Order: sequence, then C-alpha cells, then structure tokens
Amino acid sequence: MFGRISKTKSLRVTSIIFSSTLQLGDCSYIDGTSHAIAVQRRSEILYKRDDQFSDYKIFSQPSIFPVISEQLQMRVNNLCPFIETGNIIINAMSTSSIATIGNVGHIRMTSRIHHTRLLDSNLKHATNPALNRK
Amino acid sequence: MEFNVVNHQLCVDNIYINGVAASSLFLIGDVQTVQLSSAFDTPPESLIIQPLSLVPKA
Repeated sequence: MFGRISKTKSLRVTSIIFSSTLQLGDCSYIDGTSHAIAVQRRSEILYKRDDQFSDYKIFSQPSIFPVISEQLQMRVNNLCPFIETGNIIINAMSTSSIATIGNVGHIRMTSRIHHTRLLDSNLKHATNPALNRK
Repeated sequence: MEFNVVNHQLCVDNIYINGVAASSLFLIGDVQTVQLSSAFDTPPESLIIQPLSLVPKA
C-alpha cells in the first residue's frame, strides 16, 4: 500500500487521557469521536447537575463531512523511502485525539462540544464577566 | 482524475506540541483520505447568571 518508513529520533508524551491514542506503525483506518459537555461554574460547590447529551441539539445533529465523490486514481512515487524527524515532544493529548507515526489509509475524526457558563449574579460585576476575573 | 505524487526527501527537525485535543490529529507519515468534523456550541442561553451560594444546603 505505502512505501515510506517513518524514522523518529525520540518521542516524549507527558499525558494521554480520555480515549486518546499514541500509535506507532501503520494502520488502515482511524475513526475517532468525542462528545463533551463543558460546564464552567464560578462556585466551589456543585450540588447536582443531570445533563444528558440528548438535552442539547448539537449532539444529535448529523456530522457534516465533505463527500468524496470523485473517482480518484492516485499514483505515488517514493523517490526517498524515509520520513525523518528529530525529537518530538507532546505535552498532553486529550478527548479522542490521535498522534500517529506511520502510514494510515483513511482517517475520520469528529468532535462535539457544548459549553455552558454559570456566573454568580450576587457579584459586583456579574453582568460583565470579563471584569470579574480574579 | 489522475493524481500523481512524487515524494522526494522529507526531513523534519524537532517538533514541540503543547496539546492535541478534541478529536485532533497529529500525523507523521502518509495518508490517503482525512475527514475532520468539529462542532463547538455555546449559545446565548448557555450563559446563565444566577445566585450561586457557597454554603451547602441543610
């Protein structure tokens, strides 16, 4: 399928969380999906929140991908059979992200995030949250 | 469509990435197709200004 070999001097990743993947080597298909409800709340205590993905429209809407309809005949000529890199340093990987060293056939990644802010109306500048930052 | 690719030498020096997040992709290598879709929603009704008490309810 592919001819090129990836050569990496060193690879350092500090943390990988929430279904993220560090992949070394070839792979034929990658399909990654992440759904997140992010709640930013200006209070130390959270009593209860029963948020469901079904409460928000963004998670039920279909993904819009550019359709690959054209018949494509691809010819690859690898004059140099190597891809060379030096040191790779990644601090953090999160929420279904992928770092791959190697050849991949097809990749499809989806991300949905709903962001909510809860601010305190008792504070002085409640109407202008920008002035209210510590 | 005919698509001809000639790969000459590819050499990268050091790479430093702080974060890869939310279905993002970092790839060293070759790929045939890539499809990425991302949706971020923060509508006006998601900014809720209400009294937030710090004392737990009895």
